[in-house]
Amino acid sequence: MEELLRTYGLTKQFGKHRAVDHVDLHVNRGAIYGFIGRNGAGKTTFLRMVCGLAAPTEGEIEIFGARGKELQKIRSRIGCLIEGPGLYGNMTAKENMEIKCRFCGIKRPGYIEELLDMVGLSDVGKKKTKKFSLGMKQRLGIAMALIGEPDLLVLDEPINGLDPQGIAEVRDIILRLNRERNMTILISSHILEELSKISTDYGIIHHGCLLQELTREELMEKCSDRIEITLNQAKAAVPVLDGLGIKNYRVVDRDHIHIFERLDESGQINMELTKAGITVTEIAKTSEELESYFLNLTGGARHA
Amino acid sequence: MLNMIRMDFYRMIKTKSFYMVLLVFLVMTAISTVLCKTELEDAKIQQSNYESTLEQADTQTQTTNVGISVILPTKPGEKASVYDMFYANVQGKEVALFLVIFAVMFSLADFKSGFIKNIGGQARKRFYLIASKTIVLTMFTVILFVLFLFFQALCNQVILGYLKWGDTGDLLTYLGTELVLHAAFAIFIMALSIIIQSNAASMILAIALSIDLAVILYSMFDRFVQKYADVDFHIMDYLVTGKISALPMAAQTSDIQSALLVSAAFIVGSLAVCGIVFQKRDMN
Repeated sequence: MEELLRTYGLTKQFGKHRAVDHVDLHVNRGAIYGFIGRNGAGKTTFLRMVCGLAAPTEGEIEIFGARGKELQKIRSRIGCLIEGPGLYGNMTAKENMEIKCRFCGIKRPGYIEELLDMVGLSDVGKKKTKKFSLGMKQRLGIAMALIGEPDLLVLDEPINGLDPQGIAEVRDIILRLNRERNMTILISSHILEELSKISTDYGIIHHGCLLQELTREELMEKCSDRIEITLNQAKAAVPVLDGLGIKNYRVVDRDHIHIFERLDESGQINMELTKAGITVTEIAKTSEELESYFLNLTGGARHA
Repeated sequence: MLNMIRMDFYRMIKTKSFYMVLLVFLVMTAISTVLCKTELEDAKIQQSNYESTLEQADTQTQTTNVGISVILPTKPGEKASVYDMFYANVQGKEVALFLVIFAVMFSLADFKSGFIKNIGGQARKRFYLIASKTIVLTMFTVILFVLFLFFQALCNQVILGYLKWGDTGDLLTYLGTELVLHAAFAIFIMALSIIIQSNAASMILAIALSIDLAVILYSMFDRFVQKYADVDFHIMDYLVTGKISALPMAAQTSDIQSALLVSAAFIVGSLAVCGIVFQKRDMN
């Protein structure tokens, strides 16, 4: 699949504090990439660099194949909503949109109304944005980011502070943009459960370091019920499992195999492996919630 | 770039501060005309004002007035022209004060609202955002001057009861030169505000500079240079605020040249420093 965004050792240092530490991230075209991390993990700083609002201390960003000085020329193809919507409180939604339309050189009649309609703000009339609820502001922020038909939409914590209804609305907008406009979306959040409802790919950041990148399928697999076997020669166990008719399994590394079917037959599997001369150190049926998977990866439940 | 100018112009005419500053300025102009009418009716005050204007023009040295002071240059017994009133207000820094108040609010509005995040990363060159603000602030300066001139004419007609324009040639020369000086001052304040990024601090500094509150510092600096370099040095001769008050009514070519040179230096210097800082700084 074509990579739309890639970073090479992207680093941002503030004095002695390294907010983003050599991050190599890959976002494929058409993906909804969930960028997960606790508060202060470095998500916003990373996204600010991607959007051109902050300069990296080290490393490089490649977007649509452009790097270095070429990058600025294609940044108009990125729409962003970073750290909440930046709006003029004394202006209406339409006036705020008009300012950005002028910046982008868009004069098409009905364009603003179309975008406002898409985010469900077509009926706000002359209400000043300072009187908007947080959910309305977030939706307007998304509409602002959509001006100019960006190919990549960067959303930083767009569901922060929203009530369940607001979260569902934003989720719906994101899914529609991805499906109807084939827009690639990079979305950050510290709520894995919410991201898991829409994301196709994930990147987990902690203390500025990208711990893991995985697809939805990989994440689901990691969090699904399975038999985890620790043994001395995983390779030798393959014919044994095949012989038992087990098809849905994965050799994780030299010492570990995960089996995702016939979960009640761990005893028989253990017996067959032992018969084949393979030493099984541990065999256990496990499952993991998305949230606990994330917490385990980032070092426990503190501050989560 | 043109799109950015269109954007900033739209932003300017859509902000409340644009209308508030103009409205308060026009009210102040009307009040100032009423007060001048009282002075015009008092021969003693008029004589003293006229002498003070003559003295300044003769010596070619500048008396720095701290604060806003509107001193009419009208010859005793003569009718005050629009030019007299215009000169008195411009020289008294009334126009400069309102201009810098707007410059601070306008320059920082997109930073303070966070709107800059919507566009900052997408600009091909960040400096264009500064350049666009510069052009729109210059447009505001022109609007302010033109509005002021015609409103002053209206005030003269309504409050003083007559309309006399004065020497049109001198008026236009003075207006043009002061316009450039004021635009340079506004751009300097814009640059200062963007660098400082604080509404309160920028506003205090802008007002202090426009009403020459730093005059003590200036005189200390003058003395320092005079003592160690042994030259007759006056820093006000090299500042836009100094030039704004020092430009005489019947300006000579040298006065105009020197004013334009100082303005150009301020514009180039301000944009260069602000541009470098803005280019390198992360947008928050």
